[in-house]
Amino acid sequence: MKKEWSISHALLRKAAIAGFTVASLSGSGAAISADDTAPAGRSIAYLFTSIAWPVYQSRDTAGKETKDECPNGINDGAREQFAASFPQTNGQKWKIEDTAIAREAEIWFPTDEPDKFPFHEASGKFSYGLDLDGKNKPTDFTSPDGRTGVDNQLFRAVGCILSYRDGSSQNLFEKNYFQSMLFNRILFELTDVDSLVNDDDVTLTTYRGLDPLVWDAKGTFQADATQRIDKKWSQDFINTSKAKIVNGVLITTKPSDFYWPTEFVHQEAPTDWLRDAHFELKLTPDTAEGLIGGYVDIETYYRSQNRRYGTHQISYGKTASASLYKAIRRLADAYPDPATGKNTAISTALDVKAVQVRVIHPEEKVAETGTDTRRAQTAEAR
Amino acid sequence: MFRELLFTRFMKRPAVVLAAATMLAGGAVATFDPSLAAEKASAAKGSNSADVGTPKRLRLLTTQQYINTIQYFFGPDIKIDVKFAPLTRTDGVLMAGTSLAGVSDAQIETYQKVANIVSTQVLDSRHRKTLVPCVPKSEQAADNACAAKFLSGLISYLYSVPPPKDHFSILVDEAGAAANRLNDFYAGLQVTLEGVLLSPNVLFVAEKEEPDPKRPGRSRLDAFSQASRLSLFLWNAAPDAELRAAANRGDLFNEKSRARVVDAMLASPRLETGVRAFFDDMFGFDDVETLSKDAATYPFFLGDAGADAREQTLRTVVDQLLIKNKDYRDLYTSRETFMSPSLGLIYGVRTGPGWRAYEFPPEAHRDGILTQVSFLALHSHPTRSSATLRGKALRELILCQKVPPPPANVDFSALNNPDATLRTARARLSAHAQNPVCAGCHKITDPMGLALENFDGAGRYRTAEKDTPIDASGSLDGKPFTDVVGLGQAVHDSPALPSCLVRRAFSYATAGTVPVTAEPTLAQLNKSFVGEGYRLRALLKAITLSEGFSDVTQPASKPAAPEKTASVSLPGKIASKE
Amino acid sequence: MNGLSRRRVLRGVLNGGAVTVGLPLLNYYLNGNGTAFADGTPLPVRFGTWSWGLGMSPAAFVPKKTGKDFEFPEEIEALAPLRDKINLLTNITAFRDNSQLMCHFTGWAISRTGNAPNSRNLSSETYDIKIANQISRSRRFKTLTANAAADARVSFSYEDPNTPNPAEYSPVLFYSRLFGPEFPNPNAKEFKPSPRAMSRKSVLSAVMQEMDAVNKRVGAEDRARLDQYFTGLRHLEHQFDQQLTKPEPIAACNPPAAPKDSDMKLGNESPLVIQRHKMMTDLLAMAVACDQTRVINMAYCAMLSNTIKPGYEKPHHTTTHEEPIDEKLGYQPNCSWFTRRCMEGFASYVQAFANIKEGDGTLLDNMLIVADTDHGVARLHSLDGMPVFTAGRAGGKVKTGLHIDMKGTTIARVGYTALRTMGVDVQKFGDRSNTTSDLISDILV
Repeated sequence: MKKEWSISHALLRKAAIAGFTVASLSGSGAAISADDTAPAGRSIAYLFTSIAWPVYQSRDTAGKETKDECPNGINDGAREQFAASFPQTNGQKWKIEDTAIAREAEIWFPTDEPDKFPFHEASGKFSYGLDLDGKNKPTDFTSPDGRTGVDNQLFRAVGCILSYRDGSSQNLFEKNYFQSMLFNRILFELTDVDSLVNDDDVTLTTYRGLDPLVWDAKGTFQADATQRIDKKWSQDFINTSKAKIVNGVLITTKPSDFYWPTEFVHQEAPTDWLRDAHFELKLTPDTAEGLIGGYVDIETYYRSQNRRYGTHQISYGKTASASLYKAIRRLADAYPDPATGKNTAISTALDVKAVQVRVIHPEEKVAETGTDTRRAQTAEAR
Repeated sequence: MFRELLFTRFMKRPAVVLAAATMLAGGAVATFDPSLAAEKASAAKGSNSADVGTPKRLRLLTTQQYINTIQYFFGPDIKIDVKFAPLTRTDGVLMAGTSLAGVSDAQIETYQKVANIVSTQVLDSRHRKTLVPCVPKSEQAADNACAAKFLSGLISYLYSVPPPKDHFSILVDEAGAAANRLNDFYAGLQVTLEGVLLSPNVLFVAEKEEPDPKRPGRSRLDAFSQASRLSLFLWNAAPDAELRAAANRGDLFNEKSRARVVDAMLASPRLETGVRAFFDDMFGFDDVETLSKDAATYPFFLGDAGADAREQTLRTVVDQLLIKNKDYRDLYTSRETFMSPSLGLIYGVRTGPGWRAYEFPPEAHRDGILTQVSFLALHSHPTRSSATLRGKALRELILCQKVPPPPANVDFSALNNPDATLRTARARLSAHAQNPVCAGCHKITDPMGLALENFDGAGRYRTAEKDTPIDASGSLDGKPFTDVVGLGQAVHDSPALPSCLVRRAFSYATAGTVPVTAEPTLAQLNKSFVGEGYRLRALLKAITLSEGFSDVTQPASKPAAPEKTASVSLPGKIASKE
Repeated sequence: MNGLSRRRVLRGVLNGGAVTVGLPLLNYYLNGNGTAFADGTPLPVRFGTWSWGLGMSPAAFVPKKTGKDFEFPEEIEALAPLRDKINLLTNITAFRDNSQLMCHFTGWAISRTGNAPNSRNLSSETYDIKIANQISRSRRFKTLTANAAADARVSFSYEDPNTPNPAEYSPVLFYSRLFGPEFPNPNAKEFKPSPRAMSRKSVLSAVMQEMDAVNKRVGAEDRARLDQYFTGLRHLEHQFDQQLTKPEPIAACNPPAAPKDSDMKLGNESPLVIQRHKMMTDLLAMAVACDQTRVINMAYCAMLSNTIKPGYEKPHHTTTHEEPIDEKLGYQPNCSWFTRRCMEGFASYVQAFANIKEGDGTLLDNMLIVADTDHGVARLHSLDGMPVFTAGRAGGKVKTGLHIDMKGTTIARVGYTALRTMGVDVQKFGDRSNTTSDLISDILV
């Protein structure tokens, strides 16, 4: 699955065998730049298997966390804030509407008024993400691979909350339910592709799919499965942008918004919303992996991250939702509300993995014949 | 040369053993030749009293026959999750094992368990309302009239022969005694049904013979035995009430009315159950249940791929042979089939959920069922393909030829620890075949198997093995071809193909190996199969109407000599690792 | 004896009311070695399960050494004295294939059915039921299921996909079910045979009369097959007879006195769980000793365990999620505290059967106990690296004292090995990637 992209001899032969040859394309005059890596029908689709919010965590050379990005430590969660607000010592009696209900109200109706509790923002030089605005501002980060001007203000808000860090239950749940809930199938199709290695103009469209992920016994996702595209109920998820492919990396040139479904334990089926989505994904015939940068809509994000879970699950990772909301509002850096002037979105990036998939558009008659022997070779282990 | 020799001999001898090593030595071929005996037997034909039959059998119901029988009578919502002891495949037919199988103590316990499970469901408060045809005077006590009504219905259906009247009344008494003892009418029926399901008349079919008035001196199966044979063959279940009634009326002894009964059975939707069971048996699909592929080598072979592959081929068979009534031989060249999501992954085909009809394009190299995953993956190793296993399966399962087992003390190192220079299966096998001991058999299996080398051990298409292009040329009985399409055509054209189906179907229908006496029947069936354009329905009808199907041969004074292969007579020492 | 006369004898006996003596069949006296009955029938082998929730902390649980002389890391220290009575299998996988991961459910469901479920229903009965159908149908209880979690729903034994065997959790109620007025004390003087067994035997004997007619229809070779079948029916008849025969006294069967009227308090504080576990275990052990059943299931806690550690604010399950890993120790200390209580529970369970003498050994020697859990590491909801224990020697069929690295193979191998060891004649167990015909031969004699 993890093979690097290169135009190997084997691949050339594979392409030739598979019947989507240069000859057939150039012969019909379809595209002058078409090369042997062009997918059949000049289109290829990838189904997301994981969409995660990456949080940079500093480590020493032995790989142990040093938490440099959290010099003031990890934030308190809802339990700790509750205990501090309503001490049980001295036999003091509290009314439930002043305590538990009041706290729930703060979570359900959050405000951007100043926080009563201390909040530790993440800081430091590094964060994952992309340079969205082409500027190098003082608040920008450097990515671990050396890219400068990285826009990721959301990292400051969530970087020192346990829930959002590696190995937290929230991460596990989010990944598990993204994969297991059928509603969450989201994919993108590239069209007008004349080369999977270098092509200065391809079209990228996202869709919601209708079929489950396919993985093998070891949990590896399998390329080549089929997804039916839903155009009836999922118009919100259909968005088109322009992109180019440079040395096998897909890069957005004209972004649009990215919506994706995040159903969780049948409780709710929220949609997450990233504005100005910049894809930067390494493509192989089997996989697409990389980052999608953009500006996440704050209200959508808050609903998805803090309301679809109960306070119970949120407490697994010490998230104080009301405090987090205030922090995000403070740090928001895009899309000001025309009425209030307050920013409504915050820069960030998604870490995504996707696997190649065959798609059936609803207007197409499902193929009752025809085959795409794209994957002409399999190696048998000895 | 011996290719031709093999071919002509093979034509003449339906069950000939391919005694390869002997042929290589230029020697005489088989040690046992049923066709010679058949000639003798047919010499007596014309007198209308020739022995053309099969022995009467004592058949044990298979798991699926038991389930089909119960569910046909009590309804498909009676849940039965059981697996009886496995059967022994005999001369290529699993069903023949039902005439040999014994019943162990543990198996009896399984029968008792399933009898308890079935009877409890049948008499539970939900089912009793519809399955018991009367209401007892009291639910707390015996009601022999109502019990008799219930029991007479089920016994006349479940018993392969009607029990004597006094025995029936004993069972009714038992139900009454149990009802009184347990203070529960339905509990009394439940305990009785539980016991009845253990009856030898339910679990076995003991075929019975009687003098055949039309053929003086000959015996035939009696009407009930014939009804059972018909039903187990065509429907894979015990005969229903209509068929029993027809048997009772004597319809099965009259040519015209017998044909009417068979036509009705062939027109029934239950025929599909029977045809599936037969091909499942013939294709050796019982092995799918233990089929597993190495997940690291073939990650795309998902957990349900084996079951789907079996289903794909059975659907193809039903569609081609029953629904479209096509030539049997076209199964080996047709690209029409059905697709499921997990198979789509292996075939590289876009497909939605569930099953849908699908036709491969010519360039897919998927011509005929030999190129389906069910054949390719089943006859491979967990981590690699096997030209030998595929060739052997094709010879044995599809063409009814025998491939001798490998001799002892073979050096398999070239296969198992291949020299890096031997990159393809062809190269490794040809190294292997330089050993004269191995060469004999491998010349039988490999030229056909190598044509399937374009498919890996899980059935996915490939053009190279370890970056070396695959040469898929080969030959079948002297007919050369360059790829798998040619192999399909050669199999299609092989006279062994239809005659093997005839042989397997007859053996399956009569639940035993084909005795010498039945060879003339087979010859006739072969002829009529050709005449009918190789249509399965016509063959099924011809088999059920043939004299061999109902004629009873007397057991030979001693069992037939075991078939020998030339390889057993090879001196053991030659087979050392030289 | 011909069928009809046997039948008449039987009918006469049954109609005569109270039966004092059945047909003399099995001689219930042990042979000189105390390893079998005098007629050579081996002592019955019984099967049990035990389960705990939320896996373990690998750093404190998995021994470094495999084979015979493995060490007992701190989390399983409690089992060290039982070294020669148990086996520990580690590095086991429950493959879920395309099925979704239902946390705290999928893992044990695969363990008990071999099949990754797609909903909260199982795909089949659990394998303890397959075993019970084979070895325990003739007992007063086909199976007994209990737990220390004070919740009838905590049961990992399913009669069919939708029907869990509800678990006993009240010592008082469980006692009265087992040893109340209905208890057919094998050491008592009176005996009342089961009317259902009488009816079964009577019907069977009627059906067996059909053999004569069938025999007449077949040839000599087939008659041998029918004889074998008939012998099987006779064997079945023997089994019914056993149920109609006054049981021989069992020395080890000494039911305890009834517990006090007021039942144990409900709740999941650890000391209560420990106490309840001990009481339920003792009752189960005595039920097996008195041969009331041959298959038992016990759960220490729910898979989503809510056991409470006094003085610590989070119950077991919440702890697995919220407690940070202690970097020095390499595991979650409070989480490990809970697992250690579970392991002490398992030790006491095994010991309870080892304390009962049977023949020249103990009851445990004639048992196979399998202990399993829902996840490898609960914090990660992992379905790999799962541990399983076995205890007992299954009447000499199983070796003990071993730690086996299962090398990531399917947990269905445990079920398959148990099924085969207990005499259930299956060719495979499990579905899709959990399909196996691979016995854990390292632990088999």
